[in-house]
Amino acid sequence: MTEQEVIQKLKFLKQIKPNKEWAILAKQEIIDNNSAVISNVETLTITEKFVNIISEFRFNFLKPALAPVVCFGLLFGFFNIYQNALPGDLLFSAKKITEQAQINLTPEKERSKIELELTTKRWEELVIVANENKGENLASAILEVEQATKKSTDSVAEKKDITIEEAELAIKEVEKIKALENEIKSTGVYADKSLIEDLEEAIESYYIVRDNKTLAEQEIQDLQNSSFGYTPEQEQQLEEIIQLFEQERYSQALEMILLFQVAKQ
Amino acid sequence: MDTPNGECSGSDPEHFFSLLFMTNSHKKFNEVYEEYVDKIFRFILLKVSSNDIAQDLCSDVFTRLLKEIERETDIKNYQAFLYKIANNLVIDHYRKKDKTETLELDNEKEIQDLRFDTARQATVNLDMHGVMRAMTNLKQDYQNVVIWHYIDELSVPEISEITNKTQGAVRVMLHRGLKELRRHMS
Repeated sequence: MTEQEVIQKLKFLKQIKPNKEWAILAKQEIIDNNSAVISNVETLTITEKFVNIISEFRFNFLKPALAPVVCFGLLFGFFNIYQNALPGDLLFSAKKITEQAQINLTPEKERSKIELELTTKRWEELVIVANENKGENLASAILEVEQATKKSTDSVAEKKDITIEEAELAIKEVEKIKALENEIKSTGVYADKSLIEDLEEAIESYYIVRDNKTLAEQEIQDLQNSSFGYTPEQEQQLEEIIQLFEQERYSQALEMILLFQVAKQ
Repeated sequence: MDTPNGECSGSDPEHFFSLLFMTNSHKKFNEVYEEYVDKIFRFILLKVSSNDIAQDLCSDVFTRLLKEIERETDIKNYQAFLYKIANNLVIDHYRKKDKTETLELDNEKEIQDLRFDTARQATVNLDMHGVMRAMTNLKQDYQNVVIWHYIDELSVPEISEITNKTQGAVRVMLHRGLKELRRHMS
């Protein structure tokens, strides 16, 4: 082997780089751990921070004019920027903190709805990462999708006394997630197939609630259409069935409908 | 996105907002970290042949850097400073592990864990594995200069500053290191 060939092979090793996620986390950990022990950390005043930002602009003659623009931009732009942050980005953790605060402030019975919406968001982010070929964000995006989907599955499965509105909203979100999953598949990016299967299994009872409503509605319609010749007792029973339907107690309404039809025969 | 002379071109909003939360020391640390983390990690990994240990030692290197920056130590050459610390930490690591002979390479999974161009992965893996294995057979000093010059593309004067050796001595080490490597790879 010649010296040139050895040098050529050595240059292959230039491709070795640390995992980008690790590099970001390690840096933050070093800063966090070090800040805890240093007692006289030099902190910039708000003015100094503001000046820092202005001084980053290349064109000196524009700096004075940019000050108010930057002020407004900072406030408006910050919110926009971190809302658009993707898993793996620096500001993504800020985004997640806000989302967690949102969940914590939501009443218990509405949490599964919020969690499902956030799960849809994680899938949307994964689609963006896959379509824009952002390799450095991919691992984080997949992890976020897996965690969010599993959390939603548990949340959905635990929910009792599902109202029709809850069922319809949840089904709508799951349908969105399934569509996003299909979009991911077409990019060739891996996502755990069992994630969606588990979520579908958990949401089965929601489909039953929705289907019960549809079925009960149809049956009541049929009963009302053929109500000529009902006895007063049967009229009373039909009234009760309609009341149960209006109270969203669809499975009980269906039970009464069945008894009604058997008795009628 | 940073321009070559360090100013922001205005197209990186995350950079602007991260400035809001950074002290002066952290700002400096951030700049140096971003510039050198890849090189320092690679240097350590090629010497210890373990991704986990390389990550730990690399973190230690930059922890020391931050402490020196916080103390306002006048560091004229960050690159030399970092490589010296990295080298010292690797030597300490060897002493603790009581490994004075050449190290065994971990299995190929260590290489596949590393981030690089996946399209050429299969061919590159084999070549990389071969040269990494051969590198472990070199003397530590020869390993260092070979990594710094041929992989990290440091000049002889830069290596001379890191090693506190004359440029002539560095050239001799490079020549001998390459010769040894050639022998092991053949």
